[in-house]
Parts: sequence; structure tokens; C-alpha cells
Amino acid sequence: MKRLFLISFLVLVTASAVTFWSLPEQQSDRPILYWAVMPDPSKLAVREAFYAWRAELGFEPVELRLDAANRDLTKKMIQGVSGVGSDIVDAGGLHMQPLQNAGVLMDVTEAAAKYGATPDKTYPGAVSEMVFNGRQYSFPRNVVANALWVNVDTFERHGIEVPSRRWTIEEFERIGREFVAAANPPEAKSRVYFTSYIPRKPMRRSLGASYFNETLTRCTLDDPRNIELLERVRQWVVVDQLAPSREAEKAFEVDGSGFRLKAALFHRGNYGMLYLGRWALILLRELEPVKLTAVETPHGGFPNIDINVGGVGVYAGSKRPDLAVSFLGFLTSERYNNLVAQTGDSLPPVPRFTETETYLRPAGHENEWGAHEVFSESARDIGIGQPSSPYVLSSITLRVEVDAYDSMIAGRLTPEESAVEAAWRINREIRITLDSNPALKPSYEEALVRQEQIDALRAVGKLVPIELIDNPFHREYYRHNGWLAESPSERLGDDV
Amino acid sequence: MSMSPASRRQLGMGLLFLAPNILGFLAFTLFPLVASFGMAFTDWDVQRHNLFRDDPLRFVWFDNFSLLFTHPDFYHFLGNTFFLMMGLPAAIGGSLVAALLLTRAGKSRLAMRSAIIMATVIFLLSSLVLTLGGADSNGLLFLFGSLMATVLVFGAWSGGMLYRTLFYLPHFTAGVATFVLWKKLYNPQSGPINQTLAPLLERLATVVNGGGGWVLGAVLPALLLGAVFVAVGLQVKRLRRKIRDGELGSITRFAGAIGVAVPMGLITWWLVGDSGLGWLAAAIAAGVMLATTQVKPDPLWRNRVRAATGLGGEMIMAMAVITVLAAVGGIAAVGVHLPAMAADGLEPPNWLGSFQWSKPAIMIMALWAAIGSNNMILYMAGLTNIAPELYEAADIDGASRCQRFCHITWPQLAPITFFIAVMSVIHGLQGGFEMARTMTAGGPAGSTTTLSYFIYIEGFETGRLGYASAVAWVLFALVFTLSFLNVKFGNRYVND
Amino acid sequence: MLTTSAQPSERRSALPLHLLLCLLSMAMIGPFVWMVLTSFKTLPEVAGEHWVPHDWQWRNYLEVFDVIPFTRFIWNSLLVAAWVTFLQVLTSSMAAFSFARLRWPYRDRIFFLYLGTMMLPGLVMLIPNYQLMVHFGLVDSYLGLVLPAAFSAFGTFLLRQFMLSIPSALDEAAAIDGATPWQIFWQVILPLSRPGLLTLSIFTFMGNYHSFFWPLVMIKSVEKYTLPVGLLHFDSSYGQATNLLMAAVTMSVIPLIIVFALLQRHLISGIQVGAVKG
Repeated sequence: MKRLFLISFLVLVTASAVTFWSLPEQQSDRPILYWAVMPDPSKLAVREAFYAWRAELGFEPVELRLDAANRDLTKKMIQGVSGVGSDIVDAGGLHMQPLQNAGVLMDVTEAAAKYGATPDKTYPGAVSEMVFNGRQYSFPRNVVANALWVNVDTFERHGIEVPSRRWTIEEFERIGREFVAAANPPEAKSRVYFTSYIPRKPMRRSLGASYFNETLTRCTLDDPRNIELLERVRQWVVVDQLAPSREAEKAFEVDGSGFRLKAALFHRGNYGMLYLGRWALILLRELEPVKLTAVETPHGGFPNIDINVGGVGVYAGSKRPDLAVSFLGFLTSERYNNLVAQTGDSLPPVPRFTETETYLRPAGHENEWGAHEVFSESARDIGIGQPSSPYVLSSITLRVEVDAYDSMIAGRLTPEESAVEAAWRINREIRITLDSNPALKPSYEEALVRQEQIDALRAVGKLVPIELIDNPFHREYYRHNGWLAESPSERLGDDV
Repeated sequence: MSMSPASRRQLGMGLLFLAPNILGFLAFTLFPLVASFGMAFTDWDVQRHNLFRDDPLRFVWFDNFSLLFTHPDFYHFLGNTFFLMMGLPAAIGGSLVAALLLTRAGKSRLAMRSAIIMATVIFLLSSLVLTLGGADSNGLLFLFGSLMATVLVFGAWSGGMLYRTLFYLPHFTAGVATFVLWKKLYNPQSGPINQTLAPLLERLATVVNGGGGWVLGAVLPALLLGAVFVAVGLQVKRLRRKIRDGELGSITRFAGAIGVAVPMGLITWWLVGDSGLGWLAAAIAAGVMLATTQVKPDPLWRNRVRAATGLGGEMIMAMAVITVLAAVGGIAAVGVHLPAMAADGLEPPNWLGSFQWSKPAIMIMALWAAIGSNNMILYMAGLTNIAPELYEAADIDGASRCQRFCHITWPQLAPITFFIAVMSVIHGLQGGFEMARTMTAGGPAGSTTTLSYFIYIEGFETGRLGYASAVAWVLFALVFTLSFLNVKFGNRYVND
Repeated sequence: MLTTSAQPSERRSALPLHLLLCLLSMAMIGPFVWMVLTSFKTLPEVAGEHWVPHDWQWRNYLEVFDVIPFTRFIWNSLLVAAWVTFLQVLTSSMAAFSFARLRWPYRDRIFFLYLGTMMLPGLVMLIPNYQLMVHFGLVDSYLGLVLPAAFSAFGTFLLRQFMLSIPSALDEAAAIDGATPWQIFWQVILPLSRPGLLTLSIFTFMGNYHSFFWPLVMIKSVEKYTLPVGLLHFDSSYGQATNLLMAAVTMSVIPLIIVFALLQRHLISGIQVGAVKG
């Protein structure tokens, strides 16, 4: 027995020696930057472009190491708060708020300006996910504008007219019912749906209600307009079957492979429309070309689309922040933006580059021409970012709303109960956050005062000064309705 | 504290052997353990107390705990955790059966001739089905037919080796790979489970609708319920006999009674309906059952029977009875509802996407993983430690197979069973985190969120680790209590 | 249910047993079969309806090596798992001996406390543990992967149970002959615990081989990734390359299966208790 242990020990020691000896040189003559990101092949192309860009501008060469991360926030958070985070922090979507709260992201307002990576360079709707309290913490590496892809072939096959680019909720209902009636004769084997998903978030916003009130102090999902929308959505899903039921949809979620399946079904004609960003092209280009176009999400008075921002920030504990910030500058370069445009990977962060031929009319993909501008123009003109309040995490907000919606579709709650439940839980979270973090109380009190002022002004139909409003959605909404005191005609780029 | 020199020497020796393990353990586990206990009473929030933010840490005493117990979903998640543990007796039993079969296979050899003959038969049969039925639908059958044939032959040649390896196969892909795999298996459209079930259910629906309905809907449930009553009656009779014979103590009596009271209560509740009357009837039924098992032991034993005699065995018996009867009752319930369900056509459920089916789906996966798991290996190792002389002695006394199992095998395996039981309870209560994270994100509307996933969401999503620690310590208290009971009564059972 | 020798009449009844085992193993390996078949499919086929691929893509297996440094990752996983197993078996067997065979004051109470530490969900200890690692400078190192996992109460508990079932007559006899506890440990108890040791080795090795979360947060350099982290490369924002992923998992599992198949007979070769009579 002793011999066995001894032999194993010797074998292990030898193996370890071999391993260490075979490790490639850890030191490098160039400074090293780490970027924790999902390790798919496209990132390698990005890295090459980054090196080329730096060389072009005469900067010293660096080595950018890609550290595999999963879709989760946990690795970034744990490493970040312990002091060993990666220099370039992928802070996209729902990860932005917790990372920024924790102080993991460096304030890059001045540093990024040196490289030209300022908020005005990108989409106005993305600014709310880059700038907090007037300071900038990230720059997008892509922006996903969620619009409805239309399979023109499918529509033509059933003799239904393709909807116009900007259409109303009423038209959605009408055309949708016509479509499913035409596409589902009694002997049809598999069900054909009008759309893969009913985009209730932008629809809700288009009716004037959103997740929070103007000062982000309270959840407004229990607004009657939302309840009415939920009732209609329930009708569309359960009765008219315009979209697959939530339970059927669950099969597509959580892991990325669900998207490929959705794209395949859309391609095959099981869905008339596909609710996804421009990056659906990555999946669709794997299949036979079909005639494609795109339309905005149907609106109920205030046209808007939902955008997700894939932001990149710099680690507050980075050893070489100056080099890491240059990456943000790289994101504004022509080289990078064209790369994004060519690979069909959502929208390049700088809108200027969506007006090029490379973007609008990619060679070899004539079937897509006409669709690309829908994404870029709607992102630029009517895109609104994710709901976010300093008093509750967006991940919780979205999860609660989805859970309540699930329960409604499954029949466990009525639309009204579902809306009230969601609002109650989110407001409870707000209370808990305030209780556990007293430092927030002063700004909360101040916001409540402002909210009262806004409500008072609206009650008598007076115009509201923009400084009172925090919620980016409401700023646009008020502007659209002409309720703002100064009534700017241009989109508000949110540095206030 | 004074100790004799001999004891001190013994203590020293004991600690010396313990040292390497416990020192390492103290370094890497004790500090975080104590830290997390302290943190449970603070408002430690990763987003506010880290390298970059220096909010002061506040003691909130029991606020975290009260927040937990007033959380709207706490009891739901607690229930989920316990529900998922219901499969434990089946899992442990399954691995024991597997170990017994495999050990037996290792001892008896199958003649190659019979194996080859059988294998050829199977192979020919499946080829026949293939040629008759066509490649597409029967390719799978053919595949498994040939696999079976191959396994049979190879199994006969290798003794038990092949089967042991095959049974342990699930464990080779343990962890994330298993969850990813099963997620794909459970996919309602493209997963093999539903694809196999769908045609079967369709045929079942036609049978039921075509007139078989009354058989399934009325006769079968009646038969099953009858079987349940008979089984309960037998168990009561057995309990009464054992109590009279002084084999069971007073506490044991109670435990055994619970084993019959619970199923009867459940079934009565189900028969009468989910109403106040139903609950009342269930309580009465349970009470009646409790009463029937309360007999007095014979005067001979009255003062000699310890309160907890035989408790370990009876607890296991009670759990087994409850599980089996609940399962049978469940099938009966399904049978009753079948005609109604079949009227619309039967579809396989949307496993992970359905509120009702998500937990059973997880339990099926857990059962599969548990049979060919570590427990099976443990039992196999334990079975070899049983001295053959014991069996020889039993054979001489003319013991039947059943008696051999009950009086030799099972008691000899007691230390292992004890270990497995304790570890299963610990893992069961703590488990579900990795599964939820990979497969269901907590399930449709929280139906697969266990307490440990709840800790993960609360701790890592919001960053409120103080709160998460409090929840973890509550979970600890639960596990500790159950394990303590297990140890107290199980240990005595082991040493009996 | 166990017989001591195969009577001639037993041979006839082996066929039902084998058939039963055969059927059951089909159920056990079902998902596994699906996994292997999927590894030969093209990506669109993965979402399709047939188990058996129409066009066997053998090159998927080669492509895995193109996408990631697969051999390196497997090597890392094996090395780390082997070290953890070695250390755990060694230290746990000593500790188990202490709890099962030696008599010392407070022994059982300390054992229960030791057991108790397993009951706290590991999640909340993650961050303090991690910060401890940072403090010791163990981030992005092999040592950081091995050390935290190498000392566990689980192994101690398991081996203690095995050691409890060894008849104490044996070590009493050795003690009478003047053996020190150390000698009793190495020469009497350990050899008799072979099934237990093997069991623990298997458990520990498997458990560590598959550990994902800890290597994910600990390692930053691509050369040190273990396999579960390396497999992330097949999971992209747009969808998994499921077929390649399954090919990688199949390849990673085959060496384990072979080793297990070779070693598993030691699990059922029982102890020779001819030494003890009566």
C-alpha cells in the first residue's frame, strides 16, 4: 500500500514538472491586457483588428488575452470585487448596472474623450446604459436593435401583404389574424404562427406606460394601459395563436441554441416574422437565402423599439488603464465598425458606419437589401434602452415581469393580477434596497419631490422642464407629445 | 480540564492522524465558514463593500432573517426543495438494486452460446422491424436492437465488467454536461423524449376516445385504489403485530403510523376534493389510521422495549410506503383524468417549460443519474465486505432469498446506507443550484427554484451576500436538524 | 441474493439476469447514445428529428482540436483531478482511521462537528474563499485549483464508514502483537479498505474532473483552463456548436471509461476474511 502511494506521488510530481515546463512564456515583452468574454471565433478577428488599429495609429503593441467567460455575471463580479478582474470588462446588457454599482468600472469620461469615444458618437438610446450621474463608464461594442424580421416568401405564399415599416397595434392585430387564418387551413399539419414573439415591452412603451415612473422611484407596471395591453396579448397568444404560447417558447430560452432553432423555424415558414436583432443574419446566412425585410415593432401612439447595448468598460483596478481605454477608442474606428457590419453581428456602435454600402447592401446577400436600414435607422431614431432604476436592479425587474407574464399565459393569474403582482414585487424590492442602503435615501426623497412636481404640472396640462425627468423613456415620450418645457425637436442625447 | 496521561496520549495520537486533513480544511473552509456566519448578521453587499467602495458595514442583527421569512416565495422554494427530495428513497433503492444485480452478474457467468443465440434473435427481430417499417421511424429501434445484441454478447464475455461500466456511464458526464444533455432531451419539439412519446400518446388518445376510456378512467383507478387500501391494511396489520411482539418502541410506533396516515390522508383529500371538507376528511382519515396502529405491546415486553427501537427501519419503511402509495395514487389520478384530457388529443408535456411538469422532469433526470451513480458504487463496495460465511450459515438454516436480504444483506450494509442517507439529505437540501442555473433558470415562475438557487440569485444577482448568508445558515439549520435526527436514530440502528 | 458458488442450476438462470441488465443498461446509456450520435451530425441536423445522422461527420472530432487546444485542457483536468484525489485519499484515510479506530476523548463530538461543516451551502463561502486565494496569490495557478479541494470532510466520513465495517478483531490482534497505530494503519486497515479507497478515488476524481465554477473564476490564462471551462468555446452568444461540444465531451469521457473499466474489478473483489474464524 505504501508503495502504491509513493509511486503515485512520484508520477504526479513528474507530471506537474512536465506541465510547468511546457507552459508558454508567461511574461511578454509587450504589456498584457485581459478581456473576459465569451470565447467565440469572432473575438479573434476583433483582436486582430485591434492590433492593426493600434499599429496604424503608432501606438505601442500590446498583447490582448481573451479569458473565457460564460454568459453569467458571476465571474466578472467575483474577480472584479477581489481585485483580479480583467482589464477590459464586458459590461453588456443586464451586467452593466451591478458592475457599475460595485465600482468595478472605471470612470472613463475624460479618458475616453481623448480617444473620441464619447456618448454623442453612438446611438442616443444607448446613452442611458453608458452614463450614470453624468459620468461615462463604458462604450458599446455593439447595439442590438430588436425589430421584426419578415419572411417575404412566407407572406407571399399565403397572399398576405407585408406590413409597412411603421405600423400600429391595430394593424398588427388585423394582419395577424388574416395571416393565421390563411396560413392554417384545417388540414395543416404543423401550426404556422404570425410572429415568433409578441414584443410587449416596446408596445407597452408605445402606449405611454413603462416599467417606472418619470423619476424612477416607483414601478408602474400596474398602470391600466399595461393591463389593457396584457389582456390583448393574452388574447393574441392563447386565443388567436398569433405567437407560440409562453410554454412552447420556454423551450427556446436560457441557452443560446434556442435562437438557432427559432431562426430555422422562421426560415422554414413556421413563423411569418422573427423578433430578433440584426444578428439573426448570422444564423440565417447558414441556410438557403429567402427574401427578407424588416419592420418596426407595432406602436400604439409612440413609435419606439427596444435596444440592448453591449457595453465595454475598463476595470477600476486595472494595471494599465491607459491601454485599456484605447480599446474603447478602437470601438469607434472604421476598421472595427466595418467588421461588425460585415459579419452581420448586430449594429456597429457608431451610427455613421451604418450609412455605408458595406452595411446597407452587403455583397452576395441581395435578399437582405432593404432590411438593414430598418435596424440602424430605428435604433438611431426611436431606440430606447433597458429599463433601469437606481433603486432596483434591472435583472430583478425584468425577471419579475417575465414570471408574472408566464403565470398569466399559463392561466394562473388574470392579466390584472399579473400586472399588480409584478408591480408589487418590484416596489417591494425598491423598499428593500432603500432599507439596506441608507445612502440612497436622500436622492430618493429628492426624486419623490420632483415626481410630485411633475404630476402637478401634468395634472393641469402645463409643460414639464426636462431636468425634472430621469427616465429616458419618459424624456422621449414627453418630447414626442410636446410636453417638454423647451420642446426640442431633436432627439435628446442624454448627458444631462 | 484534567485528563489522565493515558487519555492525553490518546488524544494526541488521534489528533495526529487527523492533522493533515483538518489543517487543510481549517485553512480553506473554516475561515469562510465563520466569516459567512458573521456576515449573516450584517448588511454585507458585494456592490457596496469591496475594494472600490468603502461603505461602512452595518450590523443588522436579525433583519436578514425576518426578511427571509416574509419573502413571498420562501415557502414555495422550501416546498420545491422538499418535493424534489421525494425521489430520494427511490434513488437510494434504485442504486441498491442496481448494485445487487451487478454483483450477482459478476458471480454468475452466462454461457457464450446462449448469449450469442439470444443476441442473434434480437438483432434479427430489429432488422425485421426495420425492413418492414421503413428506415426513418424504425432506425432508432434497429439501433437499440443492435446495441442490445452487442451488449448481451460482450456482457456475457466480460462477466460483470461491461454492465458495471454501462451503469456508471451517466456519472461520467456528470455536472453541467448532464444538465445540458437532458435539456436537449426534454426539448418539446426536437428532443427525443417527446418525439418518442408523441406518437405513443396519439395512439393512446385514439384508444381512450374510442371507448377504452372507461377502462382507464374508472376501472384502473378503482383497481389501483383498491390495491392501495389493501397495502395499507397489510402494513397496519404488520405494525400491530410488531408492536405486540415488542419489536417497536413507542416513538417508532408513531413513525410507522405516519407511514400509513399520510397516504390515506392524501387519498381521502383527493377523493373528496380540494376544499374545507376535503381537508377535514383527510385529517379524520389520518387520525383513524394513527389510531389503528396504537396497540399495546404484550405485558412481557412492556417495560423492556426502548422508545426508539427499530426506528431506523420503520422510518425507511414509512418513507417507502408513502412514496409507493403516492405514486400509485398518482397513477390512479391520472387515469381518472385521462378521458377528459384525451378528448383534446394527448400531447407530451412541455417538460421544462411547464409549471406542473418541471419538477417531475427534474426528478426523472435525478433518478436516472442516481441509479448509476456513486451510491451504486458504494453499495457494490459494501456488498463485497459481507463475509460469505454469513450466507453459508443462512443457507444451512434454510433461509429464503427474502430473509437473506432482510437479515444479512441489509443490516450489513447499514453503515453504508447510513452514509448514503446522510449525504443524500445534505445534498438534496443543498442541491438544485447547478441544475437550475443550467437548465431552467429557476423554472417557469420559480417552480424549480430550490433554496440553494434562491441563495445564488439573492446573493450573486443582487450582491446582498449578507442576506444570502442568512438564508444559507437557515438552510444549514434545516440540514443539521435532519442529519442530527438521522445520526441519532440511524447510528443506533447501525450499532444495534 | 448472493450465492457463494455458482451451482450448475444457477447457470441456466443467468440469462434472465443478463437480459434484465441489458434492458436496464439501455435506459442508462440512452442519453449517452444520443450524445455520441449528435457528435456526428451537422449543426442543422442537431435540431432535427432523427437520432441517427444521415451523413456521418467524422471530421467533427478533428474540428474540436482546431477550435480549442483540447489535449492541453484534458491534460490540465487530469492533472488537477489526480492531485486532488491523491491528497484527499491520503489525508482522509488518516483522519478516518482516527475517527473509526482510535479512541480519544471528544472523538465523536468532533466528528459530528466536522460533518456539520459539510452542511453549509458552499455558495456563500465562495467569495470569502476567493478573497483568501487572492490574498495568498493563488489566483490563476494550479495550486489554487488543487488545494481548496484536497481537504474534505466528505472523504473522511466515507472512509470512516468503511473502516467501521472492518472487524476490529484484526487490529486488536495486531495491537496485542505490539504494532503501533501507524503500523496498524498502513498494514492492517488500509489494505482492507481497498474498496473504500477505490470508491473515494473514483468519486473525488470524477467530481473534480467536472468541476466548472471554481476553475472558471480562478484561472485567467488559457493554458491552464480545465476542460469544463474550455468547453465554453463551443457556446457562443449565438448558439452552441452542439455537435462539436458533444464530440469534445465524448472524447473527454473515453479515457475515464477505460480506466474505470480496468479498475472496477477491484471494487468487487472482496476482503479475504479467512483469517477470522467464528
